[in-house]
Amino acid sequence: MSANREPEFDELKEAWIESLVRSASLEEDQSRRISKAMQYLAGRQSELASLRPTPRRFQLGSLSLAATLLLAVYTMLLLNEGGAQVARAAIDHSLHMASRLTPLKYVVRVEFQLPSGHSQAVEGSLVVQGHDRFLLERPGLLPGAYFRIGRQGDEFWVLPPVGPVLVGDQSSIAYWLQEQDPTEGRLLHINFLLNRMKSRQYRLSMGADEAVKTTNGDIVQCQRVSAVKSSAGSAESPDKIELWASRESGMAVRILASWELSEGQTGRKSFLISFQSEQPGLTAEWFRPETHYEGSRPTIRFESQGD
Amino acid sequence: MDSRSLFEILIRENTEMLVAFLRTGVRDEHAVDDLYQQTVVVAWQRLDDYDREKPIGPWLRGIAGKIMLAHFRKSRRLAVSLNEQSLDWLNTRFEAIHALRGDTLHQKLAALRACIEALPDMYQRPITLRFTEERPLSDIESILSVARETLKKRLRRGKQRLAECLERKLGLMERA
Repeated sequence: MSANREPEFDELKEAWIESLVRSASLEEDQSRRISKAMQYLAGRQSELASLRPTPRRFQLGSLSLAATLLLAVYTMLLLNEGGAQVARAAIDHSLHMASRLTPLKYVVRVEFQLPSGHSQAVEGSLVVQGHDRFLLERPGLLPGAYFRIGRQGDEFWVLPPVGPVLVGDQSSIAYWLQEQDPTEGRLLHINFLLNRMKSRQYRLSMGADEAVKTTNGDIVQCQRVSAVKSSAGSAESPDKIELWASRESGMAVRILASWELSEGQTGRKSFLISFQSEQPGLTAEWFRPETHYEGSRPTIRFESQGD
Repeated sequence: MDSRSLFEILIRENTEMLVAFLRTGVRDEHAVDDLYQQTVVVAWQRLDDYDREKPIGPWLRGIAGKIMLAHFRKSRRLAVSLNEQSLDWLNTRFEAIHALRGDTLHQKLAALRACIEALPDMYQRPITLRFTEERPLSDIESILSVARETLKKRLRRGKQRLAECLERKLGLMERA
């Protein structure tokens, strides 16, 4: 780097760090900014369409390039069975779909290996919306009582059948859940599992297509992607994560995370998330704890456990 | 799903990084909003030019960079002076951050939070008060009982240390 470039880059480096410190300190909700831009775009869509340089090309495409982008992924998937790159594309597409704003409902099933050698399963339902909202419900010990875990933006919360509401950030609630709850908050996020599949500690491969029956009884033609943990992977990560993504929409229809337990070993064996239905009628309120109880309850706020 | 909804998904996934990129050049939040909106509109207009074999983040930042340069030429109101070379420098760093683990930019920046925690208190406190709590310099002077010039030096030195620490973690340390 030449001597006269240094000051400029020092200044730039400082500005870069200032911007990043802000993003590192605060997980901002960008919804307002995105909505505003998209509304602006919607208002100008006809005008913008007329600005496109080659209307004929646009007609021939019949879809915008954004759609073509996804079609290209499909084409690639159809033409190239096998291969980590293809598998990665399928996961990327499922990530796009998981970030959609329409709430999606899944059934969650966690299976444990008991000291007796038998297995026991816990089931619940999971509703996810975008990348920062979810609600898990599983039955409590009393009939009609539910244990709920949710996320609304930066705030994570736990609502037991009785007693106070526990509220905190991701680190504090994840820490609490790991201590208390077998379903583990982090695994509830579809994006978490999909991103983990893409991480360097997993080796990806494409399997044969499968017809998957959803919990609603619908049959969905799916492509199957397997991610097997390498020897360098962390001990707590699942040994294998499998994704069944809809051939038609790319949506994650089923995700199965499994741990290989040695003989006599106890603990979590598998974690299965199966798509049930879209829930377009649910609003943001659904992901707040106060929507799910009547009267008042005390709230306990957890301190952050750091990163 | 229509094309605009698909475009929105792509934008939604890249907004955090795009905003952080814009904030490097522009301090005023209203200007960040305006430039972000312009970037989205131009990206939509030029979607035909996007090479779909490449990641979309750098493409969006390329558009944002040109919009920032135009903004600078028009208003002369950027936090730093930008040119093609400095935008490349910046893009390399954002690309390295993008490759870090995590779903969101906030999660990816765990490395930077670790750098902040490792700073000596004399730098960490001013940095936190100024950029996390967004306090004015006059407040920080009183809280820390230091003169303005001392405070500025500590902020500057703190930022330099953070940049060195993060670049080391990103594998971007420039060789002497």
